[in-house]
Amino acid sequence: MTERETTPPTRPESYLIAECGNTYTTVLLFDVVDGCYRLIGRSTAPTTIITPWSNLAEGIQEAITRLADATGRRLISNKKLVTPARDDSSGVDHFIFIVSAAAPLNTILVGLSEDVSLTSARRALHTVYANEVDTFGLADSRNEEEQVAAIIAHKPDLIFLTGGTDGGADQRLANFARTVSLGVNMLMGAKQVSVLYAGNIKLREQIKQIMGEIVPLHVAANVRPNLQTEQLDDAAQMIGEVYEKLKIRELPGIHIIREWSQYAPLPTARAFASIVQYFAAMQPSGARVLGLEVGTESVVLVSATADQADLTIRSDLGMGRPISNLLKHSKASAIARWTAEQIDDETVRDYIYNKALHPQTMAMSESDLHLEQAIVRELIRTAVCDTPLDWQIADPSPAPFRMLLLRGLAFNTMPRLGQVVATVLDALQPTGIFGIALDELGVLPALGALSALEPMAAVQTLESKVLTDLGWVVVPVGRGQSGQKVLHVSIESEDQQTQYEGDVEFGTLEVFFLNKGRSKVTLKPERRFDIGLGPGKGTTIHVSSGRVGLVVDARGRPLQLPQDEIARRSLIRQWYFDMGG
Amino acid sequence: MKSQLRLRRERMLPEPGDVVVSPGQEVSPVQVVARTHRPTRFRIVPASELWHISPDEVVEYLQVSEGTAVQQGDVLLQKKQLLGKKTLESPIEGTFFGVNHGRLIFQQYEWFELRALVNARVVNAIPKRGIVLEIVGTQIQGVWGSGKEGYGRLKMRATAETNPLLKDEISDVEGAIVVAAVVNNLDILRHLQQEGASGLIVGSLTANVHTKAASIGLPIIITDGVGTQGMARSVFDLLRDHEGHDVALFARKPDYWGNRPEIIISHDAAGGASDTPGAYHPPVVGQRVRILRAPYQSQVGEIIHLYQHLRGTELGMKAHGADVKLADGSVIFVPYANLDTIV
Repeated sequence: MTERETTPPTRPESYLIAECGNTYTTVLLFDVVDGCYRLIGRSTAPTTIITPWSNLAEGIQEAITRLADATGRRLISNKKLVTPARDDSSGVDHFIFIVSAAAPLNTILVGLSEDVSLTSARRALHTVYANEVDTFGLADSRNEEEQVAAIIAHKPDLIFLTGGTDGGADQRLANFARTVSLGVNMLMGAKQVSVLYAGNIKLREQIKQIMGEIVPLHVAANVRPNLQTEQLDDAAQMIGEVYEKLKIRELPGIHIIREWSQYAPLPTARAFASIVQYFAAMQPSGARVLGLEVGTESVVLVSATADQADLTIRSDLGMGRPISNLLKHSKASAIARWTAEQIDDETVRDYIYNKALHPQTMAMSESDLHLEQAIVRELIRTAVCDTPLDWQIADPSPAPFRMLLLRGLAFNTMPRLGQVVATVLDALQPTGIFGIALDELGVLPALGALSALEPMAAVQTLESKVLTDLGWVVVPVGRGQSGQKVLHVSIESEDQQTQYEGDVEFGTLEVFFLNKGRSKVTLKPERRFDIGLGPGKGTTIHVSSGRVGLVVDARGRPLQLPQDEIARRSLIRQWYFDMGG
Repeated sequence: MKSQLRLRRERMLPEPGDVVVSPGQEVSPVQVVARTHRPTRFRIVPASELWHISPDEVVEYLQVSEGTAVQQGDVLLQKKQLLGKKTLESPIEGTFFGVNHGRLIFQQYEWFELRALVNARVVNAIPKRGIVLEIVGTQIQGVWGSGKEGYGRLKMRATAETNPLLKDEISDVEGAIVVAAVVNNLDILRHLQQEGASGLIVGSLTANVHTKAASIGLPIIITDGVGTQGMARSVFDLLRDHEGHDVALFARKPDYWGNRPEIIISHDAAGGASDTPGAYHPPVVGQRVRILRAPYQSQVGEIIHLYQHLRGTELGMKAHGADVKLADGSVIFVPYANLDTIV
């Protein structure tokens, strides 16, 4: 299916990367211009995995055709990719496919303790696009017949069995294994179910015997070898392999795309995690970078340092079909509190269920827009609050980070960039000093994939400002009274054309517009306030202007909304206008 | 929404079984086209635990073979003893599935009969699985279904496209597919079921009803959404024009792959029909469309201009979209994502 030439290329190689999301497919072309890799062009087309197309290749072919039209470069001929690149500048050397549009891996978690083995299993599961459709544990009151009936009813893709510390002698896990074995056997013929065992190492052989030869059993290292240790990598890798085999390789039309590429398809969230870790490696030692994607079908969180990237994918949350799950975690009133309008609970619920039925639609009225942004806030809060170990927190604030990378349709459809910043400040309630960038062009996963193959291409492309720099945020933390001075700010543009000096008061949200180019910002917090350096300790930072500017969020942590309804709405409206409306 | 079309639809068994009609045969809505034994529940007899023997010994004493139908009281295990025999009798009836770690597993079944639900002609039979039907009719896609199927005569119980259905409007609906604009009370659904309705087509259900509607057991298709917006005028008019016709509800829940529930109103094939248009219809100027989002939700209009490039919406977002002329003559820009085409 590929138009090929035999002459190997001798020049820098070009890359065409397709990212197939649930709503849109984006293709991006990277090549060398004036000695440096650049993003040559990008285009999008609707993703075509669903009916009436049921063939993801159509959307990719359409997006490539549009890209070819826009760039004037012949990339596709008779629906076949032109590869490798030709001397006449047509074609491309490499094609990489990234995907988040595959259906989630429906999984039943089986473990002993909710607080130990099941919690770790859930964290491992959240490293792929997966849905936890049921959970069997010691707290489960169902008998064996009912649990087997549940397996038959759910027809899961995977049953993830874990529990016990290594060397323990708990036979309850073996009993669960018998239940699983029976359920899987009874589904034979109707559905093949994979089983992953990542529990007590001492029971491995017994589990293998119980499962027999027919059940496809994968064995990984115990996720909790002892109560103090958690090791997820092995289990996460195996779940990833199962996901690729059962979900990505089964995507309709993928055989066409596979023929274009020598590389295995990469889940979008993993590619995103790679680039977030790359950004972390660029930060001062030990600094953390946070990546956040709010898409139609999932919310993805990446917390990375130079050495490690913690990935959490919540396929049960998202702005499309999964949106109604939000009501399991948040009350309608908790969502409505983020809007300046008076909205009753029924309106919130109607809106959410409607959005689930029409996941691709966009708000057309101000009130819908505000409600949708309120929902985004609660989605993020839910995702963050539910992942305490990843984020090493007990309260709903992530560990301090140096940079925040945002992507996803939820942010890209916000009319003003100030609304993007306001949304994440309310939702994450971060602290300290950090920069924010938005991936409006949808390049980050592509660069994540590219960084593994051609690191220089990723580095040089990022230098060409493919991300939207939103600016910097400073969040002083401390107790104060409304109107009390929190922070002294002085700003001097690099060309020394403009200077500003002023105080920020407690309870306010201030935006300082910065001149183009870089500015020197000096921050001097009051004695009882901390901007991440210790109480009263200030700093000087050199920052780029950013599209929003320098935001000082002195509203306090955690954010306190007035109980009085009129005062609350007034305050939300004030914050809305503070951020540019 | 497509009228007087020649449609092809698969009717498939949930489990392999017997197809009882042949290609070329005309079928009626109530006609059984395939049937199968469908597993309902299974039972576990913990034999090794009851006899205090190892799982291997259970196999040694087993008196039934896999796939055998077992009646209550039939001997499952038998062991010779010094003084006669020791037996384990079946406490249940079912089909013996097999031994699993010393436990005897029994599967219980029920007959499942697949009906045509539409007046149609069988054009293909897939052995053991089902058939393909050719139907002449009108198709309306819904946005949500309750997961059930139903068939009946179409009966309007809505006088306007936004009126909530009231309890005292529900009479003489036995065997009927009822059309309502809005249902805002779960009792209304229960009452419809008590009165023997075969299904419900509704413009919108409010959230409190929507979340529980699937548990009622009634085939329900929502045509527009959740809330009080009711039914799009064009759908309402079409259904009203077909009052008294045979209608089938394939009220599947929307799935990951974009399959939607559908309403098929059967027509007389003698009246002629056009072939089903291609599956995907890119929007064109002159096309009728329904708007999916407030403040224009459920309004029907006509595309008068298509934009090739991104364009700003009234709220300031950028989107691909079209200018749509509404019934009152006003023209608005609507993102394609917010449009449903009417073919």
